[in-house]
Amino acid sequence: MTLNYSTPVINPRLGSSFAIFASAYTCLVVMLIVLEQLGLSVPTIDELIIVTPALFYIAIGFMTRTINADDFLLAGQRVPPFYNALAFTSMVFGGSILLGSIGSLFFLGIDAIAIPVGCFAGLVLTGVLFVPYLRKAGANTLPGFLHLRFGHRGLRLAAAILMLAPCLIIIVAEASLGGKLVGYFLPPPQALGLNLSSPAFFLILVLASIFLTVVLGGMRSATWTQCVQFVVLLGILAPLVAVSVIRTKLPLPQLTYGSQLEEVKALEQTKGIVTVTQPQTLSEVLPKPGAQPVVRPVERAFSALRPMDFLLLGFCLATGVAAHPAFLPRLSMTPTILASRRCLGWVTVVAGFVVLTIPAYAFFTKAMVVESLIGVPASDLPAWARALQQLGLISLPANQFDSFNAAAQRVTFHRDSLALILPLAGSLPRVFFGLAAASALAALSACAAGHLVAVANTVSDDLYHGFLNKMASPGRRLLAARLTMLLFAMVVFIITQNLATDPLRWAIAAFSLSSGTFFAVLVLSVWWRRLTATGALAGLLSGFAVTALYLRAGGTPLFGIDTLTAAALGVPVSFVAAIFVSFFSKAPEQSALEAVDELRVPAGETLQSRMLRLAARAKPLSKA
Amino acid sequence: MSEDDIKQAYWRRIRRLTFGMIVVIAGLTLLLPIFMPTLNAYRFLRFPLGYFLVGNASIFGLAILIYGFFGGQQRSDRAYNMTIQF
Repeated sequence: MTLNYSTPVINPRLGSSFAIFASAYTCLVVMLIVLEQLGLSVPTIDELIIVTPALFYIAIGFMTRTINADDFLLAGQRVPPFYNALAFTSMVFGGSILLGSIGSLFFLGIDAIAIPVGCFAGLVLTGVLFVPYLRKAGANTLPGFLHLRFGHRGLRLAAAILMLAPCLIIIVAEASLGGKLVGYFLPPPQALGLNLSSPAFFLILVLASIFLTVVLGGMRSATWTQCVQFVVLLGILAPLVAVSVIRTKLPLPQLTYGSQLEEVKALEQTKGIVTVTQPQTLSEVLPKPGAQPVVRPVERAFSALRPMDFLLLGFCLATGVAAHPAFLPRLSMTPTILASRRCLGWVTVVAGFVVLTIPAYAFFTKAMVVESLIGVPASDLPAWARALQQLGLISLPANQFDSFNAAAQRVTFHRDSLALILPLAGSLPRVFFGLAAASALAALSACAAGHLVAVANTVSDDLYHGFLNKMASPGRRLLAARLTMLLFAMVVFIITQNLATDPLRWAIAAFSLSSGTFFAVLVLSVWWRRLTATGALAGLLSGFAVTALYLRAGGTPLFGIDTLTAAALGVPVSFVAAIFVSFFSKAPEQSALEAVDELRVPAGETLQSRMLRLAARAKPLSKA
Repeated sequence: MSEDDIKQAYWRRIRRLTFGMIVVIAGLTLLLPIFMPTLNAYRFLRFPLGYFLVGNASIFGLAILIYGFFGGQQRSDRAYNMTIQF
C-alpha cells in the first residue's frame, strides 16, 4: 500500500485571481491611453506604467506571505502545471536573455537565433532527462537532491557552495539591466531631493522591489508573482502586433516577419549598409552594451558567428538551462509526477511562443529602423527619430548629408534598449513605450527574484539546516533564508556598482558555469547506477574548476572553443572525472542504490517524504 | 516475473524512449543548423528555408514531440503498473 503523505489542495479560485489581475492591468493600459489623449503629461504616464506593476508584485508578495517552511521552500508543492509553466518560462527568459537576444538578432542577423533556441532546447532537455525523477525525489533544492540520492554531506556542501556562483552572476546581470531600464522612465534622485547618484538610486529601487516581493513568502511569493509577471511580459506583444498590422496587414508577427527580412535584405543592398561579412569569435562578435552601428547582413547564415560557435552556444545554453540549480526546484513544485510532465508540456508551448516572438520583435524593429533612419538625410528623418535621440536610445550623426555608407555607420543603437524603439517607431501612443519596458522589467524581476529565493533556500536548507543547526525550528530556517536574501541583495548592489557588467555576456557565462558544473553529475546520478558520491564530487569540482578557469582565461582558445562557451570543455571533463573516480572508488552503498532504483519508479512516496518518515520513526526509538 | 524484473523491464523501455528523444533533440538543434546556409537558398513563407527550419519549425517540432514523449512515458507507466500514487 502506498501512503499518501502530501495532500496538496489547489486553490480553486486561482484562475479568477489571474483573470482579475490581467483585466486590471489591461484597464490600466487602456485608461492611460485615454488619459494621454486627454492631455496627461508624458512623465506621469511613464511613471505610472512602470511603478504600478511593481507595486502589484509587492502586494502579491505580501498577500502570499507564509510562516510555513514547505510553502517557503517549494510553494507547498501545489502549483498547478499551467501556472508552474508560466513561472518557469518567465524565470528562464529573464531580462538579460530577452533583451540580449532581441539586440543580438538586430545586430547579428539570423545567426543570433542560437540564443533563444538554445534556451528552448534546454527546457525540452529538462523535460526529457530530469522531470519525473526530480519530482520523485521531491527535494527542496539541487544540493538537497544530491543529498537524497547519495546521502553524502560533503557533496551537499560542495553543491550548495558551487551553485551560488552562477546564481549570483545572473542576479547581478538582471539587476544592472533593471537599473538602466528604470533610468529611462523615472525622475533622477535629485528631483526628489535625494543626494544619490542616479545609477545607485535606480539600482536600489529595482533591488528593493525584487527583495520586497519575495522576502515574506519565499518560493510561494516568487511563484505567484512570476505568473503575474508572465502576464505583464505578454504586454510586449501589444506594440509588436500593432506594428505588424500596420506593416503586413496581419496580426501574426511570428509568421509574417519573413517579409521584413526580405525588406531589410533589399534595403541593405540599396543603401550599402553591410560592411562586415566575416564571422568572428563569439566573444568578439556578440554586441556590447554600448552604442554601435549596424554593419552585418541580416539573413546570411554564419556571417557573424562561426558554425562551431553557433552550435556550442546552443549546447551551452541548452545544458545550462537544463541543469541550472535555480530552475530544478521548480520541477518539485507540482502536486504529482503527472502534473510535472504536464507542466513541462505547457512550458514548451509557452516558451515556444516566447522564442517565436523574440526574432519577430527584433526584425520588425530592424526593418523600421533601416527603412526610416539609416542613410536618410537629416531633413527627411521622421519625428520619432528626434524623440529616440532625446531619450538616448539612438544617436544620430550630426551631419547626415555624407554618402550613404558613412551615414549608415554613424547611426548607433544600444543593445539592451532596442526593445524600446519599436513602440515609438510605430508612432504608437506613449503608453506602449512604457508597456515594452514594463514587460522587460517583469521578465528580469521574475528571473532575479527566482534566483534570490533559490539562493536563500539553499543557504537556509542545505547550509544552515543541513550543517550548522540540524535542530533548527522552521521559524529560524525562514529567518536564515530572509537574512540571506538581504545579504545577497546588498552583495549584488556592491558588485553592480563597482564592476562594469554586460548582462547578456554574464547570463551566458552563468549558464555555461551551471552547465559545466552540474549537467554531467545530474545526468549520471539519474542514468548511471554505478556513480558514487566521490565520483559525483569529483565531477562537480572538476567541471566547475575547468569552466570557471576557462571563462576567466583570455588568450589563445583551446580547440577553437570560445571562452563564453567554456562548458563545452567543462561538461566532458566533468563526465570523465565522475566516471573515472567512480570506477576507482569503492562500489556505491546499498542506500544509494536503493535511492536510484526508487527514483526511477514513478509510483510510491517521494524520497524526501520517505526520509522524513524514517527520521520521524527513528526519533522516539532513540529517545527510548 | 519478480518485482525487480518488472522494474528493470520498465526502465529499459523508458531508457529506449529517452535515448530516441535525445537523438531527435540533438538532430534538430545541432545537426540542422549546419545545413542552414545551403537551405537558405530556398524560401518558405518569405523566410529563408534554413532559418525557418531552425528558428520556427524545430520549435513546433520539439513542442509536439515532447507531448508524444510524455505520452509514451505515461503508457509505459500503465503497462508496468507504475501509476502515480502521490
